[in-house]
Amino acid sequence: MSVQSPADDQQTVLPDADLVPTEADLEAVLLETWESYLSGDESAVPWPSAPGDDDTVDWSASVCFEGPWRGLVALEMQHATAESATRELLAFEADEPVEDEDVADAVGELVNILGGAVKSMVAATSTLTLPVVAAGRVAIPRASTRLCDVGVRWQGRVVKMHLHAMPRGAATPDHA
Amino acid sequence: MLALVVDDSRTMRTILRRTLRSLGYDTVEAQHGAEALALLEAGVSPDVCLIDWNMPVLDGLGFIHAVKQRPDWRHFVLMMVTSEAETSAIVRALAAGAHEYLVKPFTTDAIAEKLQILGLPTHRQDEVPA
Repeated sequence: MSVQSPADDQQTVLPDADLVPTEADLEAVLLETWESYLSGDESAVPWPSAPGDDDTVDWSASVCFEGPWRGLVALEMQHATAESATRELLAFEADEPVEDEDVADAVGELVNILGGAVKSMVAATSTLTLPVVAAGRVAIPRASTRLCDVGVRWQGRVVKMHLHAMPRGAATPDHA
Repeated sequence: MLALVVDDSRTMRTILRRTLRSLGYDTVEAQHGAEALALLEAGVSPDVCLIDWNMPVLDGLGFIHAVKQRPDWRHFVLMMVTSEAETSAIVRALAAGAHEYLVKPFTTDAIAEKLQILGLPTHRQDEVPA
């Protein structure tokens, strides 16, 4: 089966359902990553996307994987979340300034870990691109199809993760 | 005890440094395989090397191949620490000469367990010696 965006002539071939991680799988990966590195004073808790959520995206990152199908994993969060995660991951002192390049490194590593975990659920042989990080939303090919959204709530704010199916011929975001 | 951490991500190097420190290890760090080889050439002699897979300049597999080609470096203990979680990747790394393999995300307990499997000591800072 394939779908085609009216705005783009590249086709996305949707993967077989048994090759797509479930929402529960993705949520577990997100929670496990936060638990491993960002438990701090407050653990992340499941937080399914819902109307009324603050959809502000100040920082995002993505990685693509290529296997039986082509996928993209994106991570989105607000600036306060990204800065707090960066402080914890890079072990900054309380009064130490956080630069954008610090945030980009931290958010990029988080999506790299998430993408690697998702990739391993898809197939025994697939490859992962280097992470792409953006202040704002990362570019997602228009012809991609969003398969799944999950979220966790951490320090009072929502962190979202999306899984997309990508057209075979589409440039990965770093080449977009 | 000294650990060589080889990862292009500053974030992951920091995570590993903190984790290893809590287990009683000092660390030296390299941003890619070539930089790590230069450290070994300069005489750094780690008790264990923790190596990412995907890195610029020289990746983890390339680093392991290079270490294994030097008879005087063959005693170095090599652990891959990577998001490459597929069995085929693990087999490739072990076949190249890695002694252990750890998949991200990992916990301090997971690293401690791997170090113990490798016969290396771990001294948790929160543990009181008997």
